[in-house]
Amino acid sequence: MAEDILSGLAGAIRGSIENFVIAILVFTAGLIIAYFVRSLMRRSLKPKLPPHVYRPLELLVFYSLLAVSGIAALYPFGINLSGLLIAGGFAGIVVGLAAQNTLGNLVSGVMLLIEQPLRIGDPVNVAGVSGVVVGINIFSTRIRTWDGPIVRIPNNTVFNEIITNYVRMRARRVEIAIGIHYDTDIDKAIETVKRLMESHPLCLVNPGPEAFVDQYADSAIVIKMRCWAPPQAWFATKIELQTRLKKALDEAGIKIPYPQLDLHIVDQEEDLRVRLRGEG
Amino acid sequence: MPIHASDNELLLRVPWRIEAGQWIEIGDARIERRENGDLEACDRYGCATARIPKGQPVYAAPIPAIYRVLTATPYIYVDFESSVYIEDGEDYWALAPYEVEVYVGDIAVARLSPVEVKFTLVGDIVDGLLARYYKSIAAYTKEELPDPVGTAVVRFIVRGTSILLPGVGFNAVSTRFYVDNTGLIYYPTLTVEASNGGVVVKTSGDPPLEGLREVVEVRRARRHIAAFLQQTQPFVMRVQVQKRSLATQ
Repeated sequence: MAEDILSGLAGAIRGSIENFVIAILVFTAGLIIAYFVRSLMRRSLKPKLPPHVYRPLELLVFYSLLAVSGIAALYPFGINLSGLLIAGGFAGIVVGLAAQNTLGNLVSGVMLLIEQPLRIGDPVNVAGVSGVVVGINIFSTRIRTWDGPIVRIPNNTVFNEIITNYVRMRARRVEIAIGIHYDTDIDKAIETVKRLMESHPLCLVNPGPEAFVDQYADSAIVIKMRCWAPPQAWFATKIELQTRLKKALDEAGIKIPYPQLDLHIVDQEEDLRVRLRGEG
Repeated sequence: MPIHASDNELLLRVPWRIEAGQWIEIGDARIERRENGDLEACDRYGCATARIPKGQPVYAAPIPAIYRVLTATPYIYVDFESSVYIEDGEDYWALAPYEVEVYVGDIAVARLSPVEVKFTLVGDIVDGLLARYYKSIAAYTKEELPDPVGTAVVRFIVRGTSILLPGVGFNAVSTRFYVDNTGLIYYPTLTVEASNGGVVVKTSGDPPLEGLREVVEVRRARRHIAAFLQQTQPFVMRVQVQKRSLATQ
């Protein structure tokens, strides 16, 4: 009897030790896999993402793998895992629904950081917000608008909206339209504005500047001038050209007309009496 | 004479050391150090002023023309007045702009352009290269070149297939300068590797002629340049090669 008890006890102890060894082996294997995956992630993400982004991601994956291996290690002890898995599944659904937007922003943030359609310092237009990108993190992107305020845009919005990046190009076109008087020699006007652009250091030689008649408008011939400039100097080039344009036209004797309206009075038999009254 | 100075000896020693009461003019760039300590450095795009103690040496040295009026590209493109036909192993000469850096110790006071600044896009709008632009003749000998005012002499050696070149660009970020006994400034020899697809221009760093002296102080300036522009890729340009039609052969 006592022998049976002892052998049973010994068997139970041996079984427990075996289970314990299996559990340790399973957990160790899980740990090794987790470390391997973490180093793999670090190697692939480190060159592409900033530390504050790739570190939380690799920790999330590392601890998730540890949790899975911990649960798997309990299996030899006869603990029913299906209950745990079901509970975990439910918890996942609840958390997922509650944090749908947050998780969406997180995923979009990671995608933005990998794809990099915008970088810190880039002048952009995102979701109708124009300005310079001052920060990108895993949940949101911050843009300082041209007039100063900083706008925070959730990454989900940034990722799904059309992004216009004004610096990711070799050159950007400056375009200015100006109305000149109908009495003006068009060739002279075109020559004047072309010379103005050619003399500007930031108007590229190639593609070369161009000027042409764009429109015969009500009060003026509209001349359009175009030149390409380095993208980072686009605004400076535009305002400098606009500022110098009036002076260049004045020097060439080309007039910029006021709006004009010709008034024709029909069926007027008697002289029309007009009285002009001054301000004073 | 567009290059002159208060003391002609001053022009021969590059980098140019400017003492109180001296001035130097290189093309459009003018640097004047007055007796009262005022330093004024101007080009056609603006002026920089500073007050420098009398005992402190002020220098001006050539640096790659990639700062004025905007630091936007590491490349300089020399557009030839006429395209030049070059065969493997031949060399030719051109002029390329440099800028003048005025400095006190390790501090750059001003960067000036002795010539007009223009930029160009080499290639198309999608994958072309933005480059500082300069128009020069391409000469088969250095002596054919016009008086280099505010520009440095540059020698290109062609390797590969024969090619008709409209111009040549190069990456100027980590370039150095050489100077001869007359004060003439040289870029290092550039190697143009030509193929049917285009050209790749590499900066060798070697002096274009024997007996030239390296402008050592420019090494100091290169640190600034490297910090500004990390791009070190060689200049790559596609060249449209038009082969003879069979009918005319």
